[in-house]
Formats: sequence, structure tokens, C-alpha cells
Amino acid sequence: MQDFFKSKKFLVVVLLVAIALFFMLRGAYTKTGATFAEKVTSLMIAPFQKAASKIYVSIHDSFYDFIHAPSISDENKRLREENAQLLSQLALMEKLRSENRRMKEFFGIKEENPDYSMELADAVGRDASERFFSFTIDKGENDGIEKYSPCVTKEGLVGLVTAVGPNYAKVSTILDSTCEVGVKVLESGDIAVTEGTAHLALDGNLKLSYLPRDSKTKPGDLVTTTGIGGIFPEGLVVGRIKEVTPDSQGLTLNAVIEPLTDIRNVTEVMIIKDFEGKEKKED
Amino acid sequence: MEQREKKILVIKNLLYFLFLLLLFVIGEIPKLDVMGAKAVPVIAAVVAIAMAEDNLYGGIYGFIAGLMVDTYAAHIFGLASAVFAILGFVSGSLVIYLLQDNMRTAFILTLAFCTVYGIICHYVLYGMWEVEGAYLFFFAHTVPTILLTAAFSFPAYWAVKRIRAKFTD
Repeated sequence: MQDFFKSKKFLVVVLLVAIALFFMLRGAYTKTGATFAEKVTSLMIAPFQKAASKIYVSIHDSFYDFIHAPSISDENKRLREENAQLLSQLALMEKLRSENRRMKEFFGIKEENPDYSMELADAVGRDASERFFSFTIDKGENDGIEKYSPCVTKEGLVGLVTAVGPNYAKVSTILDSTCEVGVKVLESGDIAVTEGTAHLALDGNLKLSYLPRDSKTKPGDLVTTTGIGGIFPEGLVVGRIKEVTPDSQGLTLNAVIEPLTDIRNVTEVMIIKDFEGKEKKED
Repeated sequence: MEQREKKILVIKNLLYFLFLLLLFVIGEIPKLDVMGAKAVPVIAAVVAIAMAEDNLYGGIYGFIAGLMVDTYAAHIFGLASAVFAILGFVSGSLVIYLLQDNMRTAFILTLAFCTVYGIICHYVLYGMWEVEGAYLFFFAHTVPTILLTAAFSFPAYWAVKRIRAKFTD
């Protein structure tokens, strides 16, 4: 037995584990950016990951129509019926158009916000251990992306860059329990902070806490960022209020926000590298 | 060692590495999941290599696979490397001293390996921080991940055996 623990093989593995522990301590100590080992492995792996992702997407798209032909036919029939109903509701469409125009004022990111400096990116990896649907993108320091840069789609806010390497970055979504966003409910004017929870994250939703008891917030209200804190620019759409309930003590109200973006399945994003009012955050 | 033997050794290890890389990349593709759960196929590859070769190979390839997983994982860099190196070494040792080298053993070892890693990850990412409702993640994601990864043990075992047979007398 002692020979086993003194064997070269055992000592080699102990050395490897010691190296791994060193990486962990280094990572915990530095906190900012990627360590040297991370950068080296990402440089090797990122091109393969990007290629595999693109190959999979092209194969998936090629076979999608063929595989889903019956469901597409059913969906076509359903959509025709729905279209007939919509045509008979002109007044509702007028209201929807007006609301759409209002939404576009917030969605027209680059047009409405010329101070934004943005970078398009693709989500190339989702780790199996990640439960809040965070993902890795194919852009990093070499593309001017910094830690704590907001991540958005044309529908709205997705999350925040939490780690950056030379050619990749990790994005934590707004569903994450550690990602809090200062928001404003447009219709009622209430200001609050979002938080992620395990229950809501599974459905792709997040929580809005500490609304005043007499708040006028109701389902359907639009929620946007306040810009306070300098992390997120003002006016980014976070989502819509799905439901409003009193908290356990009845002193405040809690709400569930349903993001306009399907954060669990996002593949193309934009990173806001710079904007007016951005504050440099130190770790 | 003869020149030819060295060459064979290099090519065999290169194939093992490429196989590891391939499975890692497959595991990381964003849309490739089963109801939100993703597999960690590199674990199956590490166990297969450990069984086919020996415990040292298991430790080394576990370390390499762990580095790949660490690069894009949500937990601290180095955790997967340490865990995979240890479990790879243990897998190889178990097959040398205790267990039979067959597909059933590969499945069980992959299941056990992934369960240990899943529990450690779950604790480090959510249990340690007392995230509300973290138990939901364990049953909704970690357990399916373990089962999906174990399913990869069959093709991984077969592939590694074929590679080894090709380069062994």
C-alpha cells in the first residue's frame, strides 16, 4: 500500500492536483480578468468551439423545415385563423401600433443612443453546470470588451459580462441571483431592484422586490433600467410585469418580470462597450 | 524506446487529445441540450481512457479535460482540473485493482464520476452561497446531466478501445 502512495504515478497526479489548486487560489486572488492558464486554454479551444457551433446551427437550420413539416402545417392553419381574428380588431391593432411605436423608442438601441459603442457577438458555449443560463460569447479583450459591460439583444437586456479573456467573455444573465439591476416601472413610475431566484429562473423569469404597498404596478407594465450606478445605461428594456403579489408580511409588493428576450435560448447578442454615464467599476 | 514505438505513442496520445477536444466541443454547443440539461461528455472520455490505459493516463487526461471545462465553466478556474485529475486517477486504479474492464464498468464509473463532480459543482455554485431554491437546480438539471453524461460512456468506451487496439500489438 505504501508503495502505491510512493509510486511515480501517484506523485505525478498529486502534482497535477497541486497545479490545479494553484490555479484556483490564483483565480480567487486576482478576481479580475482571466488567468494566464485560462487565456492559453481559451486560445486553443475557442476556434474549435466557434466552428462546432456554426456547423451545428447550419445543420439544424437545414433540417428544421423537413423535420418540422407537420407542425409547420398545423401552425400555418392556426396562424390563418388568428390572422382572421386580428383583422376584425382594428381598434386593438391601433392601440398595439401606438404601443409598438413606444417600445421602438426603447428598442432602437443604436439609432436612439448614438453614444453607445457596441460589439456584436455570438453565444458559443453554455456550461452544463450553469443553471441561470449564463453563456460564453466569441468576443473578448481583443474586441474591446471589458468586465461589467452590459449585454443586450434588440428585444432588451440579457445580462452582464462577468469575466473576459482575450477572445471570449462570460456573460451572467439577469436571471442570476447575483445580478441585480436598478429598474423603473414605466407606467407607475416605481423604482426597484431586480433579483434572480432559482424558481423563477427555471421559467426564464426574474423577481422585482420591494415595490411600495400602494404601487400602481400591474401585469403588462414595461420595466426598464434606471441607469443609476453607471453599470447599465438608462432606458434598456428588462421585460414586462407578469404578476404582482404582496410579500409575506404584506408590507410591500413583489412582482415577476418576464423578459422580452428568451434568455434561455439567446444566440446572438450585442455588448455595450461604452455609453454616456458609464462608471468604471473596480473589483 | 524504439523510434517507431515513440511515434505510435505520440499519435495515440494525439488521438486521445483530439477525441477529448471533440467531446468537449460537442458538450458546449449552446442549443444541444435535452430539456435544458447538458451532458459533460469529456467525463466519459476520461473514464474510458483511464480504463483502457492506466491510472496515470486517467489523472493526466482528467487534468487536461478539467482545464477545458474550467475555461468556460461558471465556477472558479482549476476546480474541474483538480476533481477530474483525482477521479480519473481513481477510475484507472479501480480498474487495475478491483473492477473488470468492460462497458458496464465504464457506465458505472462515468455515472459515479459525474455524480461526484455534479455534487461538488452544485455545492460550490449554489449550496455554499445558500441560493434560495437551489435544490430545484439539483433535480431539474444536475441529475439529468449525470444521466446524459453516463449515456456517452458507451460510445466513448468503444472509441477509446478502438484507438488503443489500433496502436497496440
